[in-house]
Amino acid sequence: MATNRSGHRTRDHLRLIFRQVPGAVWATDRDLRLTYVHGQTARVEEVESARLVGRTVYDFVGTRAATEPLIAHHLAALAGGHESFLYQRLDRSYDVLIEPLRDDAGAIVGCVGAALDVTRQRETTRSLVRSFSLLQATLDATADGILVVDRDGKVTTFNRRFLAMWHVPASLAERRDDRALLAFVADQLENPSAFLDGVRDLYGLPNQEALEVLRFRDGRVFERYSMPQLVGDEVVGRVWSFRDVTERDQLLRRATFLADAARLLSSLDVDRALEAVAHLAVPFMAESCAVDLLRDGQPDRLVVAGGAGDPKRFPELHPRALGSHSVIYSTRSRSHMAVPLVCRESVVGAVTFVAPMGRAYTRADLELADELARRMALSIDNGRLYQAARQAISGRDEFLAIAAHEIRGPLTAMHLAAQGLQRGTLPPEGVRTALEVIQREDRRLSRFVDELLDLGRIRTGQLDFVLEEVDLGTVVRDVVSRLSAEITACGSAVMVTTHGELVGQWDRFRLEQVVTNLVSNAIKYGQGKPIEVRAEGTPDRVALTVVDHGIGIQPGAVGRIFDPYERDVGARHYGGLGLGLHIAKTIVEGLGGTIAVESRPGAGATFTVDLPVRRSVENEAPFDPRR
Amino acid sequence: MKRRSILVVDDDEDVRNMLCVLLSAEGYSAAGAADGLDALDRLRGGSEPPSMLVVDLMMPRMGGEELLREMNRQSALASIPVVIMSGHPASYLPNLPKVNAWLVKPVELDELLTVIQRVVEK
Repeated sequence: MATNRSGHRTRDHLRLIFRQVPGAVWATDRDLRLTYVHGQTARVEEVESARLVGRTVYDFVGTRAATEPLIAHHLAALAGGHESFLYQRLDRSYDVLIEPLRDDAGAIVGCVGAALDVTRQRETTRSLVRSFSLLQATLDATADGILVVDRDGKVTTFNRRFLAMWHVPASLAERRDDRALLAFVADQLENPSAFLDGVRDLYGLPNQEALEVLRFRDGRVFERYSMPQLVGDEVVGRVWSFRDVTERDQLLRRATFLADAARLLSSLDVDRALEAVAHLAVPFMAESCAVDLLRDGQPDRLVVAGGAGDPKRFPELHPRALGSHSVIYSTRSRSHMAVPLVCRESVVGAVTFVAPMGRAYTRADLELADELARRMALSIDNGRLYQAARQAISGRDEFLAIAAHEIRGPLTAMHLAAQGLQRGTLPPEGVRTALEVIQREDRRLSRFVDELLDLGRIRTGQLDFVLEEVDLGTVVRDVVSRLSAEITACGSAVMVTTHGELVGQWDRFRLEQVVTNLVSNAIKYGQGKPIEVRAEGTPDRVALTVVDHGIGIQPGAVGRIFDPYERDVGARHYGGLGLGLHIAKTIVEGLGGTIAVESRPGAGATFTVDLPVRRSVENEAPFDPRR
Repeated sequence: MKRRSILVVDDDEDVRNMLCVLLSAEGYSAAGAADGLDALDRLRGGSEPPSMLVVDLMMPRMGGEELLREMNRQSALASIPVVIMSGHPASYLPNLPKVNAWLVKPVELDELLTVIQRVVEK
């Protein structure tokens, strides 16, 4: 009786224990008939344990197929095997153990089994695996290099980008030793000790976040961001993130460089500005930088910044640059760049850059050099425009001063004459003189105004011709007759000779203007010496030659004598605006001809006009003297 | 040249002639020279120097400034009074030696006559 009670208590204790197991325990006989079943499994399946007892495993699984895993493992256990396997049933997973049940003699009399519901753990594990896979994929997909280190200095995670960015061999990475990694990477930087100090400081401040720029010896630039790795509130490590900002840094530095260059080039002292820019380019773009400008078609070295050796020869000017081509080349073991300076489609100079030893210029460097050269050329052009504007203003001021002088002369004479007449004290011949002066100076002023108007027409591109049959010989004789008073006054003798056919299709008024200008000049500058006027004709052309033996023209002024306002230095005291020859040339060219001068100082001048008898295309558009 | 004689030095023929005519009408003996060199020839060649010169500045061969400096170098000519007649104001050549008066063209005849009278009768 006591034994029975003890046995019942033991079974009750066992039931209580089995009830805590998230699974089931059972026993079968040799026929796989369930002799005992207990556990949550039965409840999950909503089948009471009691109802399972007496049924077979075959009934449980619903088949007698020996290949069914539960059946197969039971049969294996009956054969003496110790079975451990994962069993799937009704969307749940179980870790199953089945062992043979032996009697006291050791004979197998059945099986005992235990099944643990591991469904949730497996789902959790799968979820973790998926999360880890996602993390790894994310780390490998990002363009940033990532390194995670725990608080003991052990590398826990890194991505492929980190290895590539820092050139870390896989074998070193797999050691997961942060110190070894630091020692390996520090030497790549411009300032290794500062880098290592910074890392050490951050490890000493586990909660600190930090952003820093790292500069490499090879020119690369990284941004490094670091933050603590937290699990809840606890710091368990540190995350290092590296981003290659080399290109962005270079763009920024190039933009800053170009802005600084533009500021220097805003100066109107162009040569000094170019010199300053050459110095600015060293060492940012080059070890040395030379600027050459074309003066009178020949290269003239303006400046060499940096570098060694004779600055007049090194660096040498590459001929292709003067041919308007940008070029990268190597010479004396150094990489060079040469870019042209182009103003209004003309090469005005070149800039040459020499790279430091070991550096080779790239396409990007050449683009920067081209952009710099464009700005330098613009500065040169602006400087020229400024000088041209200053000269134009100076020319205008000089013109106004001379014009005022030209007007003041006739006004003075007319004013004196008028005042004399008003006073009423002049004798009869004095009155006559006064009236003649007024008439003469009136004509002189009118001629001056006409010249100014002609100049205006030339400037605006419209000088009209009225063509008619004109005899050049007649024109010459008429002009000389009209200028007889001036001729007499200056003491010159004017000899007119004509030869051949001198009739052509010209504008009479304008032709008279040309002859008058040339003969007036000869009188003005002839110093009273003889003047010859020759007109010679052939069937197609006529030639008019006016020769004086006066002060002549300086060699340097001969080429400019037909430009407006140009007067030879020696002739400045003679007054006048210097418009006559410019207008004469414009008229002659408008009639299809040419005008030229030969002269030597002190030996007079010979002006020759060559005109076709008629212009080749009679109905062409009005002559535009600006062309 | 007689006393109260005036030499008009101006390259503009009409100005020169008109001044001579006007000065003659006022009782002066007036002669003309076309530029500085012409004036020096007359000054050196004449038996008696003129009472004064009326001189234009901008002239060919030798202008008014050079003429005055040349006259200053020669003791016989240095004392002859000079009136400058120019399109420029006196500030144009502030250091011009021996200028008794400076008139800006176009000159007022009354002003010129007043200046001449004052200078000649000094």
